Amino acid sequence: MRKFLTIFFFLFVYQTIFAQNGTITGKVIDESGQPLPGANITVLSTELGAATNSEGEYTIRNVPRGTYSVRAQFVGYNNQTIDNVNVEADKSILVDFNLTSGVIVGQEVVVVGYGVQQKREVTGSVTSVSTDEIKKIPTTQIGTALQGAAAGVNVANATGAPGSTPKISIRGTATLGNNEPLYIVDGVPTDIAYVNPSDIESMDILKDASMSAIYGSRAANGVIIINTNRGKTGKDQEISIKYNSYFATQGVENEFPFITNKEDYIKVARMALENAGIDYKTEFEADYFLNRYDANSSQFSSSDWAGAYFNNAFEHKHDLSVSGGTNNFNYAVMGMYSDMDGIVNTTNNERMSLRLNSDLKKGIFKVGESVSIGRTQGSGRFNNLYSFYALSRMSPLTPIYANTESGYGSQKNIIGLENQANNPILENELNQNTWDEVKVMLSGYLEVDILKDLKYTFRLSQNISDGYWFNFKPSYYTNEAESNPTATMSETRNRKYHSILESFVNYNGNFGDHTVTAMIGYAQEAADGRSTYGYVQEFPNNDLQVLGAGESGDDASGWANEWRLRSYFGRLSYAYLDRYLLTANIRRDGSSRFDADNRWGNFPSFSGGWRISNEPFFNIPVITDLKLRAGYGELGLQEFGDYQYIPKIQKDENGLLNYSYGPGRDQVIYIGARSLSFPSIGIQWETSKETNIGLDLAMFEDRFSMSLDYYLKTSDGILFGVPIPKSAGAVSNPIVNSASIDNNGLEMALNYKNFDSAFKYQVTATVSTYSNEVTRMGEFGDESIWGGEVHWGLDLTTKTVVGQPVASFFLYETNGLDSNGDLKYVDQNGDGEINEDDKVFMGNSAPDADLGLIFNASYSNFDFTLNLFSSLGRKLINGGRWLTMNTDRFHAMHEDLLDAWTPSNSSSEVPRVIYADDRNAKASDYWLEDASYLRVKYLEIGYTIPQNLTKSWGIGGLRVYVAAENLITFTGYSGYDPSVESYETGSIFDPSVSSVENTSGFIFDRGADRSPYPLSRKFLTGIQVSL
Amino acid sequence: MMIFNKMKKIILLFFLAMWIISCSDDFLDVTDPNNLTPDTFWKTEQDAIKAITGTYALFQYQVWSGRWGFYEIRYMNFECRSDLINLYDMWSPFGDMSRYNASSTSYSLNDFWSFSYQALYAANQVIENVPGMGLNNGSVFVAEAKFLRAYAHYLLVTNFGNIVLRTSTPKTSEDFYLGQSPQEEVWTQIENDLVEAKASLPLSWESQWLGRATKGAASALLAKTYLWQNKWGQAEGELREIVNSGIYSLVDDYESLFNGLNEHNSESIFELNFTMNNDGGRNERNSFPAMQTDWKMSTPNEYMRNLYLNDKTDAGELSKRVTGSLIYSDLENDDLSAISWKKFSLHDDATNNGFDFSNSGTNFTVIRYADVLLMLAEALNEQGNTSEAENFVNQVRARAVVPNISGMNQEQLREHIRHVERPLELAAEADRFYDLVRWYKNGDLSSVLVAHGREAGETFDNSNDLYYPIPSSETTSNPLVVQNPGY
Repeated sequence: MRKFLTIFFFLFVYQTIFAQNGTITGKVIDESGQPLPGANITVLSTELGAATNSEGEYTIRNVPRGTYSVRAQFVGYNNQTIDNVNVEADKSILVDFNLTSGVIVGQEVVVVGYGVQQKREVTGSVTSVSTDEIKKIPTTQIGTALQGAAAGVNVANATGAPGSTPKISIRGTATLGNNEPLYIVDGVPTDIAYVNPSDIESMDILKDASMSAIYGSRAANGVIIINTNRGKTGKDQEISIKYNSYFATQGVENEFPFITNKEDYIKVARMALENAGIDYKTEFEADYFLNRYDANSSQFSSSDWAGAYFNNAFEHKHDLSVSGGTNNFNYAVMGMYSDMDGIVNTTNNERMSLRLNSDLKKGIFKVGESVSIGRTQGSGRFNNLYSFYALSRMSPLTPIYANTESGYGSQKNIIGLENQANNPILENELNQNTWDEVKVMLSGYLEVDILKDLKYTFRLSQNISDGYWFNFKPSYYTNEAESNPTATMSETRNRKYHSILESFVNYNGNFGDHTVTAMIGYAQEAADGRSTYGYVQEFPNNDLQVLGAGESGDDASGWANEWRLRSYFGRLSYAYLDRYLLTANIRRDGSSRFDADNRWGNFPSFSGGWRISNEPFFNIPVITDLKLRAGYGELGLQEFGDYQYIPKIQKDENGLLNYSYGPGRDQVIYIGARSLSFPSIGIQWETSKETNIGLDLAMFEDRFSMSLDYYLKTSDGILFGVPIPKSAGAVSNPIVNSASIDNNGLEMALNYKNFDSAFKYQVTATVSTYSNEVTRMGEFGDESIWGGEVHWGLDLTTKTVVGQPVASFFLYETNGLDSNGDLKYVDQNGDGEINEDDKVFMGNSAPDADLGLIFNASYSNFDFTLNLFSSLGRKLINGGRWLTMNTDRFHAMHEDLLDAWTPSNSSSEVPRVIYADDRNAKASDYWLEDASYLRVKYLEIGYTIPQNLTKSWGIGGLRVYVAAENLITFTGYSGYDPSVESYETGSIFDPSVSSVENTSGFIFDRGADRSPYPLSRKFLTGIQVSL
Repeated sequence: MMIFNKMKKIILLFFLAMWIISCSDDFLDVTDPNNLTPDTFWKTEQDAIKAITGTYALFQYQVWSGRWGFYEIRYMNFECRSDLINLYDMWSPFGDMSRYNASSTSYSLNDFWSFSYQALYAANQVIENVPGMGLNNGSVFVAEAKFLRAYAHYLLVTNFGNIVLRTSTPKTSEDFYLGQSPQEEVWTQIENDLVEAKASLPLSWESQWLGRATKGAASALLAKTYLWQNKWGQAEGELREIVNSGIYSLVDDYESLFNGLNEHNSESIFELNFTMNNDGGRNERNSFPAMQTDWKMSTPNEYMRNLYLNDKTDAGELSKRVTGSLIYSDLENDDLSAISWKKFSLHDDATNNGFDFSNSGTNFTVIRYADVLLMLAEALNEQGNTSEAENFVNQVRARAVVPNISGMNQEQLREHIRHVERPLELAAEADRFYDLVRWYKNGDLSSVLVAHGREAGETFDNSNDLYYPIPSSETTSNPLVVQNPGY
């Protein structure tokens, strides 16, 4: 009896306890009545929750009595929260949800490569960039708009040339070749140069290895995944028509301080000659320019060469998009046209693009396509490496235009001035440089919902690019020393195809508190390119600008290349109660760029996350989300030549190996050949191993959020040409996996928004720190590569060595002026001589930290955006200053020379000028400047016309705005632009680069500001219309 | 349900298909359409011609794909230290070098070193690969390559003294790093190559192949090699062979030796070819016209001018050596700066078929018969055979139509050959300084320079300034190479 009573007692107690709790149950369906399996139901402010089963039904048991809000979430749908759910003991309450499909908003879901992940479940480091911010910046280049939008992402405008593609690097410099990340647009690896920022719907930057390992062998520089607008599905949707347009004028942000006044110029010239001990009156002839000036100064000009070279320019861009959909179909059509004049005279870029995306769902099938066509035409050529140099050769004494046969002035017949230089304005205006490039991206896919949880995707894509570049130099005559007797023309045509086939399966399983997703897939890629080149000279007149019209000097050339990739990949994710998260990726790639023994690589990664805020013990109400995550991954890089491992026997493009045999006039030229490279030394992938730890925090009902990441990245086996001794006899250094670089840094992104009151605002701040060190180079591990060239003839300024960051400044240290007004170089080793042994390392051009701040606000119908960006700890060699303060010959002069040291101006810090003497123009820290800056990158004020007005006009919405880009830059740097990166992008193994050994202009030249195309300040006004 | 199963089957089949496609691994094998590879090359005589052509071409030093390289890297590097020149407007890269203060970072030395080793690599490729090709005339190609290998080593050792010897192509990465060899070993290797080359080189080539190495060329270079080592007897033997072959004879028109109108004449033993012809060979030209005259860096100095002033015919006129070597108006009274060297600097559009200011197709004569005769005279004289030596000197003088010499003793003849005859005959042919080094390498060159009024002669260090410094590109990348003393 007792036993019975005890049992009964326990049962009763049991019953009583349970009797305090109730159940919430219900069903989740979408607009068409379809059940949504795997939807997440949470009881807010508790840890209770459940997932819906395959019928869309859920049950949450043991809910204590009370009143709650219950929320349903499902990927691709808008959340729905039902309040005032009253749970009574022992009772079951029905709460059904009817979810409406929403466009994939960047905040909820993240595209992670062959699939999507809930942002909440992401365990790696991903930044979803707010596309509203991207679309604001007036540009045709996505990269330009990205700066400051994501921590760890550094964007450098290679130049301000119209339509130029900025260089993007993620988390520092991890290779000596191409540092560009991999871009995926609508699932297709492609070139983003022609992707219109206005087309973008979402952009996710996969920064750490655990996220990007799924792209394996090309992901070591990070991956940027972009999805463009596809329209929305939904019943009774209105067609959305949007039109944007802006008009802008731009001008040089900073004037370069050339001397433009002839008296000032003459004064400096006289000083320079005097200090060199030259008496021009007695030592030089009467036609020496100073003697002529003394005789009659009015025969000389005071030309402002930079003023003629740069001008204000006008630009406009128009976008039109039409999108819409029905229940099962969505589409978007986007077109763009832009025309941009550059601030360098005669440069121009015209661009148009058309994009068509659509998706159709029928039963278990879904098909879709993404097609884009873009065309760019450009004219005028500004060579980033040499054009400023050409400008810096011109003295203000030389007339720009003159009464000569060509109409242009010339410096070559002014005795005593630098006479190697042609009139750069003549070259800009007479030489024709045009290009025309078309890029097409075609992609189509098929998705099959094999089972409720299993989806198969097949995608086929192709990128096609075709373009020509054309250069015509007409014949002209200015004087005997400056003329082109023979017109020449060269034309290059390139075409490239890049096809991609992908086939993968996604599995999405919910087992109560456990969520498992898996993906497994296969992909193969093939790229083929071909280039042809033709050259002729001697044209009957300068208007016939086709190769066929040339009469002599025919030359032709061309090359072809191809590349293949085959990959297998997979991912497995597990989440428990949205609290413990694990993800693992693996990719196996085989590339045609390596020989059969070294062809395949495996790239694994794994990461974990812990949502502390979901823990039962966690009870800080003000914190809505706190997640700790950590990950590790291995990635590869293979950005180099397609046939690198194959030994080559080559004739030389420039006739270096040609020799003639035979008698006198009748010698016949024979083409020679030789083996170029040494036997294959088993080249392999560059590999990158990265560890990332991160923290995500959201507080105050998600008003405030923060992401903090710390990463450690080791890149090994970096390919570079090991400088072997010349006595080995090779033309080019063998490319070997022989360098290693470490990068580490801290990234912080903060976001605060307050939309509660009439004055709504949002602030996003990003902080990124960078630290970079070369840990190995070369066979002996201690090679060094000189770089940082400002111009041939001037000493190199950087050295890349073990123990220092890439391209670190290596210069003489100066210590003021001596009693003669010359620079005092510090004799570091006290040996009484100033030579290479006295150079020291002095930092580098990569910043210590980048800070971005984006502030958006709106009040009634007005909105305001401010985008600030600051880079700290950068240094640059001011090449422009060096070139124009060096009085080796009389060319352009820098204004500071007016303040040069003289006995009567002995407090000056500017060394004295001495003609044809480079003692004050060595590679020293006198030219090294701090290039930290704070820039108001973008400022915009907009006004949305009140709804009632616009409705009465039959328009959905109308907004007008005025804005300024690069409004002002605060910096101590005296060159054109402290954010400059004047080195060519792309791989040093590009087949169009004739010598693999030629590192000039690439990453080793970072830090030397050669004054490439300057950045411009833009003022614009625009209009956005939606119908 | 049935449809479902069908669907599943179709998809699985599809997957299978994918895997099958993926299993063809030669998808990832590519061949390079832009270049030959060692597998496709080295097959026919055409390939051998290409390879040997490439080797000759490297002796033109065409840096920057232009025509300036030869003048600067081959001619100026060699001429700028001559005791017979006045430093008029030495271009700055040669300023210090011409004053016996060369720097290891000099670009012209670095390029010279680099190109010479590229030539050695090319020559070694021929020597290693041609024998296996089964050609009838394969031995000739190999002989040419050995001649060129010897020539490259010769140019390097006479300039730098302590050089790396390259007798094979590198096969592994260790082979990239070789140290310097003692000079005796280098000379021995040069001798061996030339002896072997001589055996298979032809006496002469048919017209279309003029410019390729001949037996005489190998012989003459071998003679010079012996002279460098003071092996007078062997030198004499070699030189007599050339004289007795009857192939060579002095040309009457001295000026035509250098004006591009008489290339591969009877006196020419080895020339480096240049041509103005186009045909894809933009860079088969040199830039002597501009460099020798308009942008001239040096002129003859007083010592040389005096030698020329005294080189008169019986009738008292300046000899054709003078008119053929110099451009002047009044040799006696002109300021030195108004006198220019004439050799190889043809400049006249009218007579020269398109030659212009900076382009010339004039071949550069490396060795000629007059040099052979004077070398024979020197070898004989050093062995005490002074009177026969005088005969050979007089053959050269007879061509110049200047009076014979006679009755000199060994010492006088030695001085005459060294400081009168060779300068008059061979000035400005890029070999003078090397004669000085081989004569005074264990003596006092500085005094000679001073005696000839050579600027900076007194600063010349008799031990350390005989050779140039090893270029910095080598010393910084090769831990096994040691810099020359004094640098």
